[in-house]
Amino acid sequence: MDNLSLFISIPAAVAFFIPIASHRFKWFPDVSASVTTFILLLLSLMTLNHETVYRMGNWPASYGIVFVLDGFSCMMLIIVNLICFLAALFSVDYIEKFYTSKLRYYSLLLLVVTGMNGTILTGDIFNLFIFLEVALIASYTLVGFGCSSRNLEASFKYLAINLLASYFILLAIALLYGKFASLNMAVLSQLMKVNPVDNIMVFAFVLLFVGFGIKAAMVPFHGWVADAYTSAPAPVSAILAGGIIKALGIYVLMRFVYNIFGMNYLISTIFIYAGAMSIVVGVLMALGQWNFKRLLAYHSISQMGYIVLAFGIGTPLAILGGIFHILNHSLFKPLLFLNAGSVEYETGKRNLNNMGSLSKKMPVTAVSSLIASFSISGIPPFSGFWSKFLIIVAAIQADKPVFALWAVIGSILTLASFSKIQRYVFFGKGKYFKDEVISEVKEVPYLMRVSMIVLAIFCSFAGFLLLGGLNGIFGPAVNALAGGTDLYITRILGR
Amino acid sequence: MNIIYYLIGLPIAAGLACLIIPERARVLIWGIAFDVCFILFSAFLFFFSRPPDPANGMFVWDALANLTLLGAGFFSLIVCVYSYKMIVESAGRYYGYLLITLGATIGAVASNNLILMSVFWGILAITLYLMINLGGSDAAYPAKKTFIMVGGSDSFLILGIAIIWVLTGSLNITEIRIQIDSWLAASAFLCFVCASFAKAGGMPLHTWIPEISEKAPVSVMACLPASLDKLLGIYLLARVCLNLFSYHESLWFLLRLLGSITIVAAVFLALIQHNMKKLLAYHAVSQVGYMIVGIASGTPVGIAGGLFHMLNHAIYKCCLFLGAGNVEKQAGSTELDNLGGLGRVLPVTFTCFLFASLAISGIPPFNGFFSKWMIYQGLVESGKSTDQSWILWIVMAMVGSGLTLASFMKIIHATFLGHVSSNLKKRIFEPHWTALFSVIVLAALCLVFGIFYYRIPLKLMIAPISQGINIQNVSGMFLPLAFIVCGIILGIILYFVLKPRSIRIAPVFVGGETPAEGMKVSGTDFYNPIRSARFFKTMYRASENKSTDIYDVFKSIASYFTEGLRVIHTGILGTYLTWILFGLMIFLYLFVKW
Repeated sequence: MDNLSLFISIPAAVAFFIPIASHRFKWFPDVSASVTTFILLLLSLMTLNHETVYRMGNWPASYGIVFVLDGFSCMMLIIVNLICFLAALFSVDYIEKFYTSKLRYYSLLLLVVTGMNGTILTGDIFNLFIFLEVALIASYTLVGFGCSSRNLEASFKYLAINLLASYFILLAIALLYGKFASLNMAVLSQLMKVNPVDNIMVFAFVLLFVGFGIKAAMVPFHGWVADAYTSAPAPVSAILAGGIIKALGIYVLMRFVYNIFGMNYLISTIFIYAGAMSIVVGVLMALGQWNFKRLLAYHSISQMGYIVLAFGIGTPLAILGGIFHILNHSLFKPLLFLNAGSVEYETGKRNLNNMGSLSKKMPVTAVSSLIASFSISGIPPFSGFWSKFLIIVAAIQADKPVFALWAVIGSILTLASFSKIQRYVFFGKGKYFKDEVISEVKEVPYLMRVSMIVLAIFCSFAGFLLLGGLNGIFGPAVNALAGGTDLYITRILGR
Repeated sequence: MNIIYYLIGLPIAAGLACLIIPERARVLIWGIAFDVCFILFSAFLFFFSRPPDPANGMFVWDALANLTLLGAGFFSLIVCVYSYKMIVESAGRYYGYLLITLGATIGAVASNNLILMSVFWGILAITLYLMINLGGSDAAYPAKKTFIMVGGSDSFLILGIAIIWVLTGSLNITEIRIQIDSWLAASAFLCFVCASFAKAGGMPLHTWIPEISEKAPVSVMACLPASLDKLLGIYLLARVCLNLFSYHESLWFLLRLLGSITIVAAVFLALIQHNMKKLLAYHAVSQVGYMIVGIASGTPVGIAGGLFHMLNHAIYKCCLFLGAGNVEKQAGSTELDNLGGLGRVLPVTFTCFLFASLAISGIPPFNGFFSKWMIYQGLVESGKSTDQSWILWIVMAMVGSGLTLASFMKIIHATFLGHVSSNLKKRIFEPHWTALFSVIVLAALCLVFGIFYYRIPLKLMIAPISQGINIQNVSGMFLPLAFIVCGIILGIILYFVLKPRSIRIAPVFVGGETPAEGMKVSGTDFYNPIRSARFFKTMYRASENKSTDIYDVFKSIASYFTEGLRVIHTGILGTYLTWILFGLMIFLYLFVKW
């Protein structure tokens, strides 16, 4: 798989083709979106262990746009396309029931995929900004897709905060371009090594840091998360939590920090403290929530905190833990959002107090959400345990046992809030529960079940990836980051 | 492939099969469960004398594992037999979880690798949670609480494992022997202790056991908190204290302190309970204290006594819970106020319950006496090398023992003796023979392990664990036995000497009215004076409004912070934008300054 531009051209083309074709064929949006995302998933699996640099139009790296495929971007591609495929499958029945315009929905969904794939692959800083905006503009619309006043308010909040972030990023790009006269990330990195650090570089770095920090929902930049996740359709929330927040936030941030600017003590300390804050603020806010999806949204902040903490510690073991946690969070959090979507699909309720006793009526949803809850709370042997364990070990090894304890406390609070979900939704009864709510309830349609079952299987067995995947998946990903700036420069510029 | 893989795989596979088989085939499911439990129990008996080869360092099968697994197999089998007629609804899930629990227990006990152990430990927490949830929607809250406490302490176990890995570079139990000389090592020790306390029910991590006792099915109570979880928790404590860490005076002192507090505080709480199952649950907590004190005494006799007590406790507490289950099934209630006079209609249950009660109260010749005696001996022994605090521990343990007897007087009187309550069903008879069979076997074991305490349990099971101890030491029991026999004879003589010559039974006179039903003396109020005594009043009140419950304490701390955070999360866009600008300014300052 050398032609990396396919990851961008295929979804973009289909996205624009859907509105044209679906006037003739009613089935076209459903089928085309699922098939496209499935093809993308297969393509991304083909990129495994196939590190390469693709030059658009064969221009040399410093002039033209390059697409870089290394271990880290390969893993992110697989994650993003897997989640988008499963979300597209889930959407077939879900969107039918709650929303009207399928063709717009799927076009926008594929544009989000385009943007995310582009952001992951590109090696050009301005190109990065373009893809970022493609994904974000499509997602603004998707968040407000229900068009109720609440949805629009959430969408506006999301829009305003993320536009601010985008301005920061654009300003930083302008500053860097003004100083170094290049937009290629590897070239920038090389020039920064040669030139002494000055205030423009520092300012540009802080702007980038804050800009991507906002998109990664780091505390104190997490204001947009709860509303956006809550009001988006469930599969879109899944993509937001499993894809956008990582591809556009954490992934790019880590690229900049590790591969372009280079890690140092101050950045590491800031990451550690910001991560620790995120863990606890997110989980404490989640404990007080009664809205199913809002509770999950706050947990995204908390789990991103673990990832930021791990990358802050910065040893290879910690990076492995962080990358593995990115993967795991992309498995269990979308699954939980899909569970919330299924519960809403059947009962029409989002408030935990209005639900109850669904474990017998919806066995697939109940068991998969149980698995996801165990996984996110770090109960062995489910997937979340392994990454959290690695992070804890890394924290102790790096002589920061307090943060290991902190992570454990966060994990217990996570367990507490997911036990709450299990209690009110599946095993016990909510305060305002009425029997007629569940009298008609049955298990959700097959396609929705398939998405949940696939994710649940991954959640149960992802731990085994550590045994066999160390060389295949995680090893290259860790190397890509731990190699620092030198490896990245060599990979792209060849010297 | 190694036999241990089969031993773990068989029950887990069978358990998954039980979950899939439709619920209508209840007898088939029971058959599978019974067969698997029986096969495993026989296998453990077989391996008792010749343990299987541990596979390539992944597993270890020593005398401690032998003892724990034999117990686990036995109690699963007994509970399985008991449940034949008792569990009718959702049988597939019940037996499925039971078998998975058994499989995970084998894994947790036999694994040499700490991470492998934590994996099985996690599965055990999950099955515990799911089994409590079998009690219906009322059980959802206790199940949640249990899962948070047990699962949360598992997180500490993992933290402890991580610290050990960093400290020693090894994860194999057989290779690890840590001197507690840094605070990191001490915190690793405390993490392990926390996990074992939560599992076994040591204070202050005990509160889930009384909470679930009323809601969960009673056979689940008998199987998990009363026997398997005790075995596992104390197994872990023994592993930690005997293998992983070497003796450290002040930490072991802490364990003894917590153990003695557990004995006394839990038994005081048990005294005032009105529900049979809840009362038993508090005793399940109280008895853990003896095992902790025994193991923490640091002397061979004490450790052997602690492990012996673990086995004994599982026997009689399982018997008591199953007896309570018989009462609940046949009489329809376990509230002591509603019961009474059942001894006449449930004679077998009554006899077995009485045996087990005497055993738990430490009356010779039942098994509870001998293990408690060994624990006392261990404490005396430990006094030789340390300070005089052992006197305090012994006094507390003995007070606990006396109060245990007192509270079982209450339960026996209120349930089996006295007047028949009018709230009961009219026709009460003994349950199905399978249920009786398990109770009888357990009660008989209480007696056998008591009378042949040296020949069977001590020599065969306990002695191989603490090699090098002179088990003959223990047999210096003639004197106390003689004293007790003298005491009993004296009591009988006194009874006959001081007995009122004639007893006159007169009808109750209430101002000419016929006495109402509620006027009978049920025995539930036996110990109300203690409740209203000055010091105890505050204690009981604190425990009733849950301000001593560690779960509720942490819950209120967390919700305090949550409320604080919610105040600043206004949902107003301007606020969030302000945060971002503040963040930007702080980071700018930091980076420019640097």
